[in-house]
Amino acid sequence: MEPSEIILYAGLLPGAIVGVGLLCAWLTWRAIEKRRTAGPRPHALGPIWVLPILLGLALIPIDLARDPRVQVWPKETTERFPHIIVAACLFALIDTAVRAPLWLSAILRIPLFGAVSWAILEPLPRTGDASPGGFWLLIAGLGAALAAVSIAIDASARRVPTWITALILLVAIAPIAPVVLSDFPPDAPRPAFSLSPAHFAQGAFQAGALIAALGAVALAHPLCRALRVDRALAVPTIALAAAILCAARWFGGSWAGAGWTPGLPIPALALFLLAPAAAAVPALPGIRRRGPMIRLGLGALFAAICAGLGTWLAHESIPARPPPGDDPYADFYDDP
Amino acid sequence: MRFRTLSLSLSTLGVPALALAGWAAMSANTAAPRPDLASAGTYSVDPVHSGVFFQIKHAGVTNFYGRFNTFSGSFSFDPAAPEDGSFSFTVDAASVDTGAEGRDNHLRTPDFFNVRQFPEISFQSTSVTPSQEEGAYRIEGDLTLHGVTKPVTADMMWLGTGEFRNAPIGAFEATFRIKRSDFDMTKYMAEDLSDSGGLGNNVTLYVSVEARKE
Repeated sequence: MEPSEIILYAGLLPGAIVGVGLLCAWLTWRAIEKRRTAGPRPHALGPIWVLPILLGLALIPIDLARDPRVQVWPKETTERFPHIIVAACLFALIDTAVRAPLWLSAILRIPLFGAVSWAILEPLPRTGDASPGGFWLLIAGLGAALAAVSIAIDASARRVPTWITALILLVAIAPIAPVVLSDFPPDAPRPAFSLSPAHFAQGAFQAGALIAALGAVALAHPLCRALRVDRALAVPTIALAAAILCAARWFGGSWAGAGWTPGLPIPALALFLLAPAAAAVPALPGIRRRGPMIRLGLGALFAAICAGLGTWLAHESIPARPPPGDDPYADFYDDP
Repeated sequence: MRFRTLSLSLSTLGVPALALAGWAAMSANTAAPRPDLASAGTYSVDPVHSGVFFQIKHAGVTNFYGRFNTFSGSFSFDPAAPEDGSFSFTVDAASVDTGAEGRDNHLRTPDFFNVRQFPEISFQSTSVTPSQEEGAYRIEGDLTLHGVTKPVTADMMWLGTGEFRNAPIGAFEATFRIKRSDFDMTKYMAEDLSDSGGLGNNVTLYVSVEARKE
């Protein structure tokens, strides 16, 4: 892809769709509410249901720009990002519309995130990365862990201004793009840009679109202050971030030196998946009554520590280059 | 005088004796069974003297070349009865080599070959037929690439037989012309599936094989 296309589809377009879409929906909703005889409802959440739709529209174009084919169910699991985005956004749409009790939503999120994990990691028993039993344990564990992180965000999102939630998520998610994009080994003659061994450009572009969407939510919020993003933002964000990270861990990597080095070490993956939970920090007792900047700062600090540690661990896992002097003809000379 | 005569006699005798010894040694060498240079037989690919290369358009203009360093295969072939021939080839997709380590790692990820999910590229022939040109044949078979199996046709030139390290060898070159879109490898390709995108759709695979007769 040309750099201009990447900037357009992984930055400007998703940001514009979410930002402009949210403002338009908000202004339309306000106009309709004002026509009511009783005026706007004081505790109304606004057109929150529109956000999952906008996220779906914003996150898929980069995938279509990279590969214009639309496949019902691709054999290559890393081609299933659009399917994951649609499933997560649909879940969020229904969740915002129905607003079932949070505990029920939490239970339903476990199979959703399990399915997201399965959709990406399906080949692991074949690649030898996991036994069949271990694989299903991994899927169940990821399902439960991702559900817990998303519930933590949503449980606090109603008590935290949307721009704070969005900015903390931005701090947590933003490092994913450069980390999974990681390019040259540190001792390469070209300028080093090695944050991990992943080499997964597709994931970086997808993460770029997510970052742009989160930024747009944060920027749009001051103009529609009553809008709260609980139930609308967490599930699509966590689902897509987890899909990118899992794909980078198990299908990206480096093949320099002794065989395959995973794109991300497991501790780094866990830290990146935990980082979005920082959005719950501003709602913690003792913090929730503080000023908005302190709440933002503490949440962003937690996110930055998780993502920073994850980045450092990923960088440390970059394999050293094989020593020079390996003779590829050694077998030939030994051959009688 | 006697001594000189003896020396002369010895040297006169010595030269033919050395020659005789040398001839005997050579005879012993040529007396070893000579390799069977007839084409018919089963061969296994010698990876040290064979190569798998690919060519693809870059930016709609350049012919870009790369190779795969690890492969194996076998074939049975007799130019007198080509229809009985059979070719089987397996390439380790992770061995892709374009001369740039960072790019090679990128090529191995899901952005291109996705070698963790699809580690092998393989070909199994289904028929071999002679072409018009002397020594040329058409090999039809199933190519599995990126997890997708499609029937393809290769143009093969039988280069003949020979001998290397006292072992009979056979050699051929085959050219596969495929579209990577047929194998679900459409990333960084023009929307019209032409060669005008960042990376073209048409890929030419060159397989040059030296194989030892079994």
